[in-house]
Amino acid sequence: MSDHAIAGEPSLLSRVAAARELPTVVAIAVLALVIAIGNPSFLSLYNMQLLGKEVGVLGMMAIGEMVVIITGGIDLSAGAVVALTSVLAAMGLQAGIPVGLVVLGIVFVCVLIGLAHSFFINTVGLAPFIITLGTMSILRGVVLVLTTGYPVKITDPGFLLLGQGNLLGVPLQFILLIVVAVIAGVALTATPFGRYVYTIGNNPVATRLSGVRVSRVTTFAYVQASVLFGLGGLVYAARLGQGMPGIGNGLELSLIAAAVIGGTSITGGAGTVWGTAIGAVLISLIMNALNMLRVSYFWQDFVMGLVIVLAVMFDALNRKRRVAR
Amino acid sequence: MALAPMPDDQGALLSVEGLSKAFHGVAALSDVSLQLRAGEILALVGENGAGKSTLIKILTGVYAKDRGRILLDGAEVVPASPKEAFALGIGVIHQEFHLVPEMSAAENIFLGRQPHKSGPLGRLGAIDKARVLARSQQVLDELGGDFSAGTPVKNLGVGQQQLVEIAKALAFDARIVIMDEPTATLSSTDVAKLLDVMRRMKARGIGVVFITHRLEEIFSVADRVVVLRDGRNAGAGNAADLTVEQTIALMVGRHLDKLYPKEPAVIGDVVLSVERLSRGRLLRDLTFQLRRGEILGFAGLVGAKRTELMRALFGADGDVSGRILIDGKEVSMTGPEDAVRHGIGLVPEDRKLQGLILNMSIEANVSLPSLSRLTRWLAIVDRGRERALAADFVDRLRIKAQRVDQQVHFLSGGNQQKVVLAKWLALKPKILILDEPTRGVDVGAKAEIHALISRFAALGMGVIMVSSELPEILGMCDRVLVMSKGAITGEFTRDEATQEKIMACAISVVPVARSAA
Repeated sequence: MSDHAIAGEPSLLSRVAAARELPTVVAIAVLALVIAIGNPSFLSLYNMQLLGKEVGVLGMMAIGEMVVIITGGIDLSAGAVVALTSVLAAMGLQAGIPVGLVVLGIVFVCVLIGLAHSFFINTVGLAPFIITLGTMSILRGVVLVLTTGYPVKITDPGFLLLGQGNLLGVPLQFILLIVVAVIAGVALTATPFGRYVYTIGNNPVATRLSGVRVSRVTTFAYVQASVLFGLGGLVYAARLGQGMPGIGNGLELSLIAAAVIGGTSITGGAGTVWGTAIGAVLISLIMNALNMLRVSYFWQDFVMGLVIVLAVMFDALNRKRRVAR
Repeated sequence: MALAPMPDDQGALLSVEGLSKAFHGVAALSDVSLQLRAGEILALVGENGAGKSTLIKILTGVYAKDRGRILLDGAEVVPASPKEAFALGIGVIHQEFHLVPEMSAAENIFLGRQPHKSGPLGRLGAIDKARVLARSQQVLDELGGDFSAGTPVKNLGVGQQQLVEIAKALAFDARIVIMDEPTATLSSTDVAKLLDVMRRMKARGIGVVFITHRLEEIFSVADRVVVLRDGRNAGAGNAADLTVEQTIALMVGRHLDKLYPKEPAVIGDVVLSVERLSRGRLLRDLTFQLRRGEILGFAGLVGAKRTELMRALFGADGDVSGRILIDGKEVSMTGPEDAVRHGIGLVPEDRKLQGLILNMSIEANVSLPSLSRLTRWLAIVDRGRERALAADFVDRLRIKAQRVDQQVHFLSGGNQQKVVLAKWLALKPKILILDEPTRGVDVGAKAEIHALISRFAALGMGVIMVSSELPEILGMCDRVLVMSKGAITGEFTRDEATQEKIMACAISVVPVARSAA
């Protein structure tokens, strides 16, 4: 809940017991135990690194999505942005552009996407889900036009490190998540900007009438989301060694699920970085479990959909209980 | 004052005896009685909060009465729901319409009450469209409507739509029609037509209860006037025997007491100067000034566009023309952030929707406008200062709360309003705009809020106060501007102002001469 950020100092024990994340943590522990029993190689360093990579990239993007959701919006373009940026990066590298410039260029493109979202939402007045659904389709189209549907190979060893390298055994993308989480955590809980993100999600009218430039805050929310999705695209491209036109299909749903499982209110106004990060752990673990327990790939979408419906349902029930109180 | 005697119960269509209703221990209606005869237009008048709505809601089954009796043709009735009241023959016409634009007038009139065809098709739910159309047309014709009942409502004018609303009641043989401020949204030609419709209803033997703030309408159409004040009968009489002045005096005749602890303040320089401010057809050419230490009241009826003016001063809406000068310098207001930067605070009309983040803490609400000033290095909010600020105001404004991290949701209306005051006072504004600062606040908290307003004005703040309660305006303000339909129609100093003079300007549509520039 939003008052996490501004609550007093109740005892640690009561805070743990009252935490919305508690059921998720329990679920993670139980699931990990089940998988480990079912397949001992779950605990291997290799699998742990694999899990760390998935949590890293998913968590980073889920934090971006969460900030948008807290303001009362939604961004459905994540998967398409990932596909676009992975392909653009591969094409840029093939054209011989230095890695640094490629990354800067991708960030620039993502900022433009975020600004476009903000323009259509704040100035034109479109519903966030409509405009981001639109860009999702538009960007997917752009990707297909650019690649005619074929993957684009990447050979630059420096770039591949981003998706394949480890530091002291920890995948670089997991470290990236930690960096993003710390910055986002501080920004959300300790700066005026972060406070506005929550107040806007709770009451945009009262926030505006308090002298806060609401559209500036929501603009930043959409821009940071696009940029984090773009970084996710770079990570995927580096991990796979190619820009994949079809990558990230349905990714936005996994991100929303991670945020909501972690206690983010789907209607806005509440959510924490920590909660979303463990939401991402649970989502990654479920995916990992399906692989480890040799469940058919075809069941993965089914399971993911089920998890999302359950997560949103619990959020709705929680809200009802709070209203009834 | 000589009042016409109440007509005796004999022949009364509707008789209300000693009706009382309290909400959370606060009396909204105390021992109110009135009679309505068949073929009579009864004007029900009173200030905002006088108890008119409560009375109407009891008559139409929305609220249950605490005490008293409602007699219909001499027999007691207890309408438990609007549907029951309707079945008893009591229809209400509200200020805002409840029509489906895509459907025809006739379909709207019979919406939810469609007669079924006779025979097997009818038993399956087939609607007798011919009867719907014929009956609707008949009622509309009787009311003097000049349009076909088959016309879609979206193609009808406002006055015609209102006719459809009235026909909704009459098509089902309503004998009592209550009209709750039906003229508030109409143009003057539509008002004239509506008054005609009321005369037709009267001729058909229907008892009409007419609620309006426009006294001139009462004297053109009503037979009798019943005045409510503070939830009680304040007087009644034949319209022919009463004057406008007498009616106003009955409406507002209250004495002021300690509810308005106005401190004498040193009135300083002009802090705010507004020149020829206009906004479309809402605000028309408003010019006035506010001085340091002054409490400037804006009086007027609901719909006088005072809130729109306050929002314009605060930069909350665009498309405003004219000049706003603060300390003699022209400022541009592109949004509330500009107003805040120039030292203006706004306590808005609706504290829950516009003033507070209800499920956040007192602390977070108090600090919201000044949060960017409470930061240390790297824009990190200084929690210690934030908490100290909130605690200081909780203390100074005597906000009754357990802790500063308590959600404002759980506070009483008066304490919530104090939190809204605190969030602006924390910013030390030059100008504080208060839009209905004590609406929905109990009497004790009201007096406290008045004392606070007075104290902060005495410290040199310029205060603008919108209030629909005349006693509050008279009790608190150094100067009063009266608005009507988006224009300033009167100006009075504290000594000149009386309720009668203010009401006269509030119902006027012509700007009157102003005492001072």
